Amino acid sequence: MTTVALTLVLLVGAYLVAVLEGWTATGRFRPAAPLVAGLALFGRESLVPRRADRILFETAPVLLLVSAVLAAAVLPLAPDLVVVDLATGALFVNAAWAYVMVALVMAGWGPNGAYAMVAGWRFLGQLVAYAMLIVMPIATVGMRAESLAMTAIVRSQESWWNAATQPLGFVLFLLAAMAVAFLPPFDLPTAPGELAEGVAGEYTGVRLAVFRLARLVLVVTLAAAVAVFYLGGWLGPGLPPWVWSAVKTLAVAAAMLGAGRFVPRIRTEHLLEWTWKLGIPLALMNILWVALTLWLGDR
Amino acid sequence: MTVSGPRLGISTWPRRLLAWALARDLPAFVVPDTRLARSAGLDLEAAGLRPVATPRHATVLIVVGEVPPGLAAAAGVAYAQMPRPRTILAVGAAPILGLPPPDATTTLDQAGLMAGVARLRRQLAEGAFATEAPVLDLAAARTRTEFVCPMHPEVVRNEPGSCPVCGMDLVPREAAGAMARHDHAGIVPAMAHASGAAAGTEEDAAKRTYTCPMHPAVVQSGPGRCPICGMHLVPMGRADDPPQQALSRRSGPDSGDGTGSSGDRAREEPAGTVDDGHAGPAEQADQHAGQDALAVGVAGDQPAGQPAGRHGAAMRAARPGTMMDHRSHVDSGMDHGAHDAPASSTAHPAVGHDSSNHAPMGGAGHLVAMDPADPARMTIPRTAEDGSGHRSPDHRTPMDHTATGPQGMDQGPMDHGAMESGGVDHGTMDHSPPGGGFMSMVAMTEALPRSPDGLPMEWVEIPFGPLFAGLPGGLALSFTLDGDGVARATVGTGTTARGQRRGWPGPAETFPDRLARLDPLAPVAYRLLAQRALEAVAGVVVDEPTARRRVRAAEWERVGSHLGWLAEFASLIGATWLARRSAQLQLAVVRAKDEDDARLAAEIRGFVRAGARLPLLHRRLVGIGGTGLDLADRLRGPVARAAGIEVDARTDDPAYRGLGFGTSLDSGGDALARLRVRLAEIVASLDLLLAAGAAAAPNAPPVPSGLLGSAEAMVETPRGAARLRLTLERGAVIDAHVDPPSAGHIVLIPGLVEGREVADALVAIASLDLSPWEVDR
Repeated sequence: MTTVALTLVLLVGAYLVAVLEGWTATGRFRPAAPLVAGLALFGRESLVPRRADRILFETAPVLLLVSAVLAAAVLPLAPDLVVVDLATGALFVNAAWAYVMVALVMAGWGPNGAYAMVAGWRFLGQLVAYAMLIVMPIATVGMRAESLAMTAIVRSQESWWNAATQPLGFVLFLLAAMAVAFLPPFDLPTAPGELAEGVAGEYTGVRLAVFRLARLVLVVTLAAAVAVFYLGGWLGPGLPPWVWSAVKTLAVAAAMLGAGRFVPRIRTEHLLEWTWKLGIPLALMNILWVALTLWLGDR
Repeated sequence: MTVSGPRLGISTWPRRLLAWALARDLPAFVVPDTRLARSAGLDLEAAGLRPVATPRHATVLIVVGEVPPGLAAAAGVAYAQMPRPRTILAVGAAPILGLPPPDATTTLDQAGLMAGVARLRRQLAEGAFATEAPVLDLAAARTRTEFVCPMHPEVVRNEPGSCPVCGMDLVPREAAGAMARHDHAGIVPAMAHASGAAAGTEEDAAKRTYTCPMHPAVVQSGPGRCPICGMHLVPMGRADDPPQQALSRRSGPDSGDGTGSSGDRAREEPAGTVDDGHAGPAEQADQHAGQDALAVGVAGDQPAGQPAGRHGAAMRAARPGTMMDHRSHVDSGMDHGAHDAPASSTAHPAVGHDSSNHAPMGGAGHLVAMDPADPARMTIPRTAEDGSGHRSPDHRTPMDHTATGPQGMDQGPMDHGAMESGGVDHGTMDHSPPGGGFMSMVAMTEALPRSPDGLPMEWVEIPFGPLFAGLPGGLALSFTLDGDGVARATVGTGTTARGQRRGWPGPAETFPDRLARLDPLAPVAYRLLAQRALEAVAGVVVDEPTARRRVRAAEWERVGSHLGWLAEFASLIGATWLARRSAQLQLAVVRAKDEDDARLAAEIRGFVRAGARLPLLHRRLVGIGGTGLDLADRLRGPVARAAGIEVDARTDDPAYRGLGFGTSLDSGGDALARLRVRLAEIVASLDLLLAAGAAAAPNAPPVPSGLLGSAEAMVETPRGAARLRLTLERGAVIDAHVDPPSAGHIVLIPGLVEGREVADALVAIASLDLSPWEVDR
């Protein structure tokens, strides 16, 4: 029952994020647009490119969806509203998101199209950039909670949210989350103006609908993870816990969607340079900072 | 009510719901590009259309204005790539050859567009699903199979056989088919060497220099074997070509097909890609009897599990899953196959999974060109500096394994190992595995030139145009990508050829209007150019109110043009707010009733200030797209001024001088400088408009009759100075020669992009603000 409810919540969340995305992209708030667009996608035929690698081509959108849903399975909406409260939940989400890369590289190679291929490779470079920055901040929130279970991490923030005590990790994790979801300015694999929609360019009809849904669910899970790790999850006065979770998730999603509109797409070389030369040292400093504060706090 | 490309099926109530949704959500692929649509005053989003970057995601193919035959062919291919149901909306266009009849044809204005969209919606809601679908058979989308040697791409035959050079079996490959290709005359002359020369045939083979992949010191003028190791020699460039040109040349028939047919095919598979023994030709054979495509060994090449032949294709194409399709595809297997044939050639060029599209193996290892004067010296490609440590600033250093650092280190041992495992050793004759089928990536890339990052990747030739979303519509580019970097680039502009020049001779009174049609992006400037030339012939000097009026018109057009360029450029680099806002402002400028809209001017100024301060814009653009100093004399307009070269045709104009005109300069010569210069010019134009003041619009002075003589005139179009040389006799134009700025800039493209990552290459090209229309060749 919890699973069904949470799946519905996930879908509703994806829909709301789709509305938000349309709002940030076009400046108009149109609540029915994702529904109409989704129906229209079902109405269009789903073409398979000639000489496509059929297995990769078909699997990629589904794998993207699976990876996002797996990550969502361990994210708690409320203390009792979580599909699986894994003891290593914080690590598990990272493992689930690793399949985003697999899916996008499949989507790049599968269609046998040059633009998709280049876009898929770019995402490989992007993975090398964000991989450390996704994991290292998780280590610090786990340090504070002395556990990797999501519910424990939220409970550890009852006094102060992690965003306040670990601001560096918060910023890094937020940026890395945008890179995982390939949102602008990290939308290298689906660059609309540069590579004619990149990995998504060869998908049409139902397969494109699955791809788009998968990406929305991914954004939802990443936003939810940011809320759980850094913004206190369900903690908050007054409203029921799940409302707080939802509000925080949507706020983070809006921030992730809106921030990139004003900045040009990042160059691959800059992305790798900044994450490795600046991001990782900052993440290490964050770990040191958190360790110091925790140690001093204990004393 | 029907649409031109309905989806097959009986219209049940769930499908009517889907049809309603299809009618409401209208992603549109714009031909030739959105900038032209906006400069015609069309607001696509307000009409309910949503421009998309690929025809695969589009329902509507919207054709704006008059489409030249080359672009019509590309539009036809784009249409074939759209998933059904698909429609065509022709806005202000004459009947388009090469496309099915449009579903709606309207006038070239917003009201017409809205009416057309409303009609399309009705048609889609009723006719999205139909029991019969017309078979799409476009000449431009037809392909045929040719046979090529994997090792020697210049060897091309129409039937299977063996390669005369090395004896390998020829592998099938798809190429542009029945439609006559644009010949090399369609390419800017400076590029001719790149395509014409390298389109080698056997006759050409004898004229080339040949070298041994293992021993670059061995050079001879015809094919043969290396006296040292006995390997077959591989061709290099022509003996009289300097190494740099040998570099920008493309290999084999790919060049001919790629350049020519990139005009034909929007984003078809380039000629140099996959062998296609599969359903493609099999399906096509059903439609095009007599094609020798069936001669291809279909069965042998099929991977296991994929049913060959038409039914296989039909089943693949008809997507299982939605129950709606099961009923339809049984009786329409043919149709699915039929439209799948051109459609399933990917919107985006295919990458060969086999060896047939790699660049010829010239030189040993990472060596790329022989210096014919001194065979012991090798050169590395001239690449743009981007801060990567691998680039050697002196591009004529002799390459040896120790001097090139990481490149050298992983080349040395790896090469020998690779060669061994690839089956190349000193005694045997060829590197190919038996049967000519599969080659390992290591073996395939062993002799390729290395890109500056040292990573050996297969070379793939990919068209980027003429309907590519980030580039000006009509610019047919072809990149040879080495991984994600551009190894070579060639340009073709035949797609915008409209034969305008033929219409220029004629009465002098109508000549300005005829010249204005040359470039739909800058009609005012070209009309002014014609008027000036006529006045120069007549020896007439216009009075001040007329001169001021002209300044206002020209500057208003400049503001609109730069805003339009900025919208496309910003959408290329992904700065969506910048793109959206400048598109809105461009539309407002185009639609403004008069040039004195103070509020609009204030908005534009505010936007320019905000845009220049966009975060990270500097980092994104700095250092990209710089041309060398030796090309400085080819630069014009904002491109030249961004490099610090102070050339502007307006400085010689007394009307401008009287209004206090000053050129906008920047140093840097890169994409960032060009952006800054254009932003500064927008503000400068607004200042000029303010200084010129609101003037009553006098009638254009009448052209004196019976003019005789010839004269030259120059005008600063938004892209640079355009020159016109006009000869008149008895009041009629008998000869007119236009030198547009884009002609000089297009030639710069290969040098600008080679060695760049593909996104940076596109930014560099877009920063030039080219107009393929004014080249019109």
